[in-house]
Amino acid sequence: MLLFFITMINAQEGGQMRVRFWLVVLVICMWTPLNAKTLEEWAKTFEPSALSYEDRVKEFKWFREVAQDLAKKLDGKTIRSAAEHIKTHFYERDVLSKAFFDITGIRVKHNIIGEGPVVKEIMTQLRTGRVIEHIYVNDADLIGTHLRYQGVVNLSEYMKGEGKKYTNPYLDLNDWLNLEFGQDYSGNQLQLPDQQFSNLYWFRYDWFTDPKNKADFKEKFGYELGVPINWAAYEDIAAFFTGRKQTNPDGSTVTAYGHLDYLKPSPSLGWRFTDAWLSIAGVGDKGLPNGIPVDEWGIRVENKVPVGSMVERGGAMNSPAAVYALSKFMEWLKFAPPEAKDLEWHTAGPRGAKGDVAQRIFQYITWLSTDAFHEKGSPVVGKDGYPVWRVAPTPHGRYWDEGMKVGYQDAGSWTIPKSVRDSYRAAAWLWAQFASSKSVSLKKFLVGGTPVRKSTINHPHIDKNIKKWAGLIEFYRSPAEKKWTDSGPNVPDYALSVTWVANLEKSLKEFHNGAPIPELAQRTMDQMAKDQDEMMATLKLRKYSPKLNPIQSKDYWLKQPGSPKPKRAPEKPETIAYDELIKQWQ
Amino acid sequence: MAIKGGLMKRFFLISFICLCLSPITIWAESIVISVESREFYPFFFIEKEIPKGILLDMVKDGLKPLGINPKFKPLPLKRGLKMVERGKVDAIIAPRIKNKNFLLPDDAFEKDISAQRILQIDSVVVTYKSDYEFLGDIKTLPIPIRITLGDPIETLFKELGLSIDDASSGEHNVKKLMRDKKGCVITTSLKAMTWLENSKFQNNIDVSTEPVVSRSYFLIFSKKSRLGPDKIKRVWNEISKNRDDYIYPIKLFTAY
Repeated sequence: MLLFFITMINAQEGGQMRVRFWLVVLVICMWTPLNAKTLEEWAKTFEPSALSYEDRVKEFKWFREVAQDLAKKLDGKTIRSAAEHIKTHFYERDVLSKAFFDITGIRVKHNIIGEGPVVKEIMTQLRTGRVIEHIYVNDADLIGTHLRYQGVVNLSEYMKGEGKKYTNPYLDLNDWLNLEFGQDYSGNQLQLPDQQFSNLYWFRYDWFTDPKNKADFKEKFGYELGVPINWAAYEDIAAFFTGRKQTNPDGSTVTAYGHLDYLKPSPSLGWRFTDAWLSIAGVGDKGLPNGIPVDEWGIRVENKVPVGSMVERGGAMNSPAAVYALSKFMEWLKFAPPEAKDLEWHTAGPRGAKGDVAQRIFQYITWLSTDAFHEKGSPVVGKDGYPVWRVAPTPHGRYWDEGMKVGYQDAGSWTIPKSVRDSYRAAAWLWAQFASSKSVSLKKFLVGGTPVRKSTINHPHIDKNIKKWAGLIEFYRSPAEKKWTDSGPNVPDYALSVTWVANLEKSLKEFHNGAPIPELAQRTMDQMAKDQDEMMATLKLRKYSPKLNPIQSKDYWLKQPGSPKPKRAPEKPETIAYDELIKQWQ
Repeated sequence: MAIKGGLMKRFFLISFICLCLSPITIWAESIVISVESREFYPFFFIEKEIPKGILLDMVKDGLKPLGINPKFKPLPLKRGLKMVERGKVDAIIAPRIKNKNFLLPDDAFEKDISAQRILQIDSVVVTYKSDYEFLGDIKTLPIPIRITLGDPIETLFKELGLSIDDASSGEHNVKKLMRDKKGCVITTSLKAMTWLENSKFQNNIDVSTEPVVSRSYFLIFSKKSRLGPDKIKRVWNEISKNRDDYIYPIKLFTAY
C-alpha cells in the first residue's frame, strides 16, 4: 500500500497530494496496532504444534472467515472472559487473545482473577442473570450444578444448531483428554475443557534413592523407602524426613520437612477437602468416576438424586473414614513447614521448589510448570538440568478399596451462561475454540503445563523432552489416569462447598487453640454433614433436586455394605520403588 | 392461696425483669422499609402476601449485627419515595434518586457501580424475533418500549424522548409484544429467561445480552429516620461486607 502511495506522489506532484498521503499513513497507523501480526506470522509463532504450518494456516483462516460478519456486528465491543490466575491462563491473556484479535478482529478481555472470585462470579451471574462475563473457564467440578440448574449453554446442542456455523471443523473432540468431565448424565457437553490439572503425589526422587536415607529408613521402619502406596507409609516417611539434614543439587544443606500442606482461611481451604480428600481417604464407594452410591463428597445419590450427606441419611460425610481424613490432615501438620498455616493453594503450589520438602501427598500439577521447579540452579533441579523430583500416584487412606477412584483431577472448562446470547455467544464460543485449538494447544502446554489434548501429550516433541515433566506425561498416557476424577455430576450445587469452608475455618481455629484432634474432627464432620444436608434441603434446582432420606441410626447405615464404612484398624504401611511404579504407567 | 399468690407475684416480677434485660425483645430497634410492590423476581416479590427477595434478605442481614429489625412495606415506587421524603418510613430499596431529603452512600452519584450498593441489577431487552440485536445503543430500541408500571427506568427513556408503554406486569408486556409483533420489553435477565423456556414465547422472542441499563440498588434512608447518619453508614458497610464475602452471597443465592 505504501508503495502505491509513493508511486502516486511521484506521478502527481503537488502539495495537496502529499498532505493526503500523510493523512492516509496516519489513519493506517492509528488503526493498526503496532505489534499486530499477520495470520501467517501467528501460524509460525505456534511452533511446535500438533498441526503442520499449512494446517495451522488453514485453521486460522477458518476463524478469520467465520468471524468476519461477527466482528463487524460487534463493532469494537469486547468479549469478556474470566479465568483463575495460573500460567496457562496468563498465556491465553497475553498471547492467545492477541492472536485471536489479529486473526478475527474480535477483541477479548481475558480477566485473570482468583479461582474463588471465578466461582463467585459465575454463581452470581447464574443466580442474578447479570452478565458479568461472557464466558468463564470454570472448573468442571461444577458440572453437577450446571446440569441441575440449567443455567449454561448446552454446547452439544449449540454445535448442532444455532452455533453450527461457528463450530470449528478442525475442533476434533475425540482428541480431548477427559471430555466427560464437562458432560451431564446424558453425555451433553455443558463445559468444554480448556486445561487439565491433576493432583498427584510429589516427592524428592534424589533423596528417596539416596543409599544412606534408604538404609536408615529400612533400619527404623523395617521396610523399603519408596513411593508410599498408603497413608501409613506416607506418615512414616513424613516422620523420617522431618528434621533430617538433606542436601540439594545446588549444594545447599537443609533441615527437611516430611510433608507440605496449606490451611489459611480462604476458599481454597474448601477445595483442599472437596477436591476428593475424603475419597482419597476411602470415604466413598467403589465405582468410577465418583463412587456409587456414595461419592467423593460423602453424598449418597440414588437415581441421580442426592439423598444425604450425614451417615444417619446414608451419606458418609461424618463417617469414621471422613473423621480419619480430617484427623490425618491435622496430625500431619507437625511434619509441614510452620508457614503452612499462612499458605493457600496458590502459595503452597510452588513451595516444594524451595528444596526443603521431601514429599507432598496433595500436589496440583498446575504449579509444577513454575520456573522454580525447572530453572538451572534451583535446589530441585539436577546438574543435568532435569528435575530431581517426580510425581507418582496418590497414596490412599485405610478406608480405600480397590475399584474406587484413586485421586483428583479436573479441567478448567469453557462455560457460557445462558444469559449470553446471539453474537456475544458466538464470539465467546469462537474464543474458547481458538484458545484450545489443535494449532495452539501444544505451545500452551509447554508454557502452562496443563494439557487438554491427546495430540499434545503424544507429540514427538514431548517424547524428546519427557524427563522434564518427571512422570506427568507417563501419567497422562496411562489408562490409570481415568481413576483420577473431579467432583462429578452428583454434587448438586457447588455452593455447598461454602459450608465446608466455614466449618473448616472454625475447626482450624480450635485446632490452633489445642483442641484434641479426633474429637474435633468428629465434631467438625458432624456439623459439616448437618449443614450440607440442611442446605441441600433448601436447594431449588430444575433437575434431580435433592430429596433427603429420613434420619436413621448411624448403626443401621454402618452395617450396610459399602459406604458409609465402619471403623477400620490401622493398615500396614506399603511402598514401591518409583522405577517399578513408573513401568505400570508406561 | 396466699402463698400461691405470693409465688405468682414473684414469678411475674422475675419474668418482667428478664423481659427488660432481653436485648432482642425490648432493645432491638425496628425500622420500616418500603419496597416496590411490583414483581422483580428474584430481587423483590410478594409471595402469599409476604414481601421476599434477595435484596430484602441482604438488607435484613445487614441490619442484624446492629440489632435492628426491618419491617418491609410493599408500595408502588412513587408512593414509597413520598413516604421516605416525609419520614413516614425509614428507608426504601431503590436505585439512586436525587432528593435533598434522602441519604445515599457518598459514591452513589459518582460511580455506576457503587461500593455501598446492595446489589447491581441489570435490565435486558426482549424483542420480537428478527435480525435486530440490541448492542447498547438505546436509540435503536424498537418502539414502543414496554416497562412494568412504576419501574424507575421510565425516566431514562423519557429523557431520550422514546415512546413508552407500561403494564402492571412483565407477563402483560410480553403478551402485548407477541400480539403486536413490534416494540420491546424491558425486564430482568432471569425473567426473560423464563419466557425463553415458555413454549408460548420461546420461538418468537430474542433476549439481549447487553443490558439496557445496569443499576446499583441502594438502601436509601430518609433524613428523618431516627437511625442517624452513623448507624446508617454502619448498615451500608455491613451490607457491602456481606456482599463482598465469598460464602455469604453464594449461600444466599441458592435459596432463589
